Amino acid sequence: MATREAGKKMIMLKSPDGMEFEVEEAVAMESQTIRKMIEDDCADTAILIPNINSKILSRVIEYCNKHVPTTGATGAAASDTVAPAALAEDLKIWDAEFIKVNRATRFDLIQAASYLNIKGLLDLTSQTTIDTISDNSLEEIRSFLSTKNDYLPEEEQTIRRENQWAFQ
Amino acid sequence: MEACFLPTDLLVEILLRLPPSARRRARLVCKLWRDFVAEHTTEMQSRAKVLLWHAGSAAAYVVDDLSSSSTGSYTELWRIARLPGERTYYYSDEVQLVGTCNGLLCICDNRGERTGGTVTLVNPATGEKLPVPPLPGAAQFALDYHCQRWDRAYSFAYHPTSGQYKVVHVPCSFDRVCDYDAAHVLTLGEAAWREAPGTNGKRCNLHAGVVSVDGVTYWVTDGGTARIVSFDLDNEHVAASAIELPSLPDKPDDYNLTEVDGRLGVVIRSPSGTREAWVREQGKWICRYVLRCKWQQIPRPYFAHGEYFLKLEGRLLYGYSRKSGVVKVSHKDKGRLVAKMKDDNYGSNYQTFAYVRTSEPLGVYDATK
Repeated sequence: MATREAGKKMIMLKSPDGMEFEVEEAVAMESQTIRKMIEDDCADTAILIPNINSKILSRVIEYCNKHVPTTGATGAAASDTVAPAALAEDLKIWDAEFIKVNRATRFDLIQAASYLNIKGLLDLTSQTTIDTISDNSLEEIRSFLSTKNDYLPEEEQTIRRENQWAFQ
Repeated sequence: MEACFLPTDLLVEILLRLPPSARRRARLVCKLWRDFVAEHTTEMQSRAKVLLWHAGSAAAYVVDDLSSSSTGSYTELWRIARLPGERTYYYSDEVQLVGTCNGLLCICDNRGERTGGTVTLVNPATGEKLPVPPLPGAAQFALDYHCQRWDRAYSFAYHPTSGQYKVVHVPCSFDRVCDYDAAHVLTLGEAAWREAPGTNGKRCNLHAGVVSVDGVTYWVTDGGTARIVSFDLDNEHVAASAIELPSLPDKPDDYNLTEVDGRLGVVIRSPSGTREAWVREQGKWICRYVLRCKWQQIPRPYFAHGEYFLKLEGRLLYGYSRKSGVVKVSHKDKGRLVAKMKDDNYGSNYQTFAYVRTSEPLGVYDATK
């Protein structure tokens, strides 16, 4: 059964490596996937999150905790004293710190954000990868994504020509 | 090939979020990515249209249809913002389109003193604008005549593997008053122009034009035997050997560089009035297009578009299907009328470029932010 603590509805998330995380329902519902499970009433005991290990899941929960809208009884104090713009700025700084992780962790976070359908987290985690692809040389992109150039020089030349908008 | 860390669906998710030019460049990463772009995006289905630049109205138009169903119609794409009280027409040396890349327009405003041309990049689809920093040294030329065709010395290029946009200013001389000894390069996103070493003295014949093809900027040398200089936009070096112009039976009196199918080309006007377009293929010049009609022009800078070659007759733009071998057009071959531009009193000096509507961002290159 979902537990109650100080009037807040709690929910239990389980990772495949056996860890359990008790989180507020509102926090868990930052994930559209979990929201749907709750709304469909498939979540009366604990929700098993497949494919996301406890290390990543705890980081995802950390993100959701920070990003859950501060409305209602708990958030009243915060929104009374802090202007929305300052709050947004604070979130931005927090996000920038949050994403300072190694590549493997970032890829795991992208996967988790995608599976759990947390748009903000997916935007944040994929943006760094998008920036890498936009700003770096092809060789750097290949090494970043652990892939190799498998084109013959003539094939590469063909692609280069195809890529030009003017001449198709 | 080693597996990527990211599963396919997430790679696709990321590819979809890339700006259009980066998505195309991603095709060069590996075959797997090329296939992703083909299967999951509509990127490679977008086709460029013919853009007509009319200096008299400082406006760009897009030809609606090149196919057999064409009615000759066109759509206005972009027009310079006119200041209050300013006249409604422009002299052809005032505002010019330097070039287009991936849906971005590079505009050069030649008005204003001691500027060497004010260059701005525009994406007409998003309304974004990016001013290019002024060329160094331009202010030292105190000119009595305030307007020069500064635009002729610029080229706007996209490097296909580095993904960088560059504005190039070639070494040249304006009436022997304003001299630029070396080429200068500005990489979009950087705050300042850089002088390119090794370009000193390789002055450009501005009448022959400057073109950038597949990451290389080409220009024809001025004075002496004309040769084509190749300036690599990745390492910013001039190629050791210059390219010779095609050898011609009839001594040309005028020529200009162009691009055909992603290759360097040159259009040559002979004294007899014949115009020929030669294309550089595997180190050789091959004649692809011959136009034998007086008063008609192979439009500049680009005349080859998809399946068609273009011809300009005043304000009328004609298309000719490209067959293998040489396309020969005489005054009897009417071609298909693809754009019937409005008649106005300010001359009908049109130039043709390629345009594709994209969401290519410009704000990210603002070096002042």
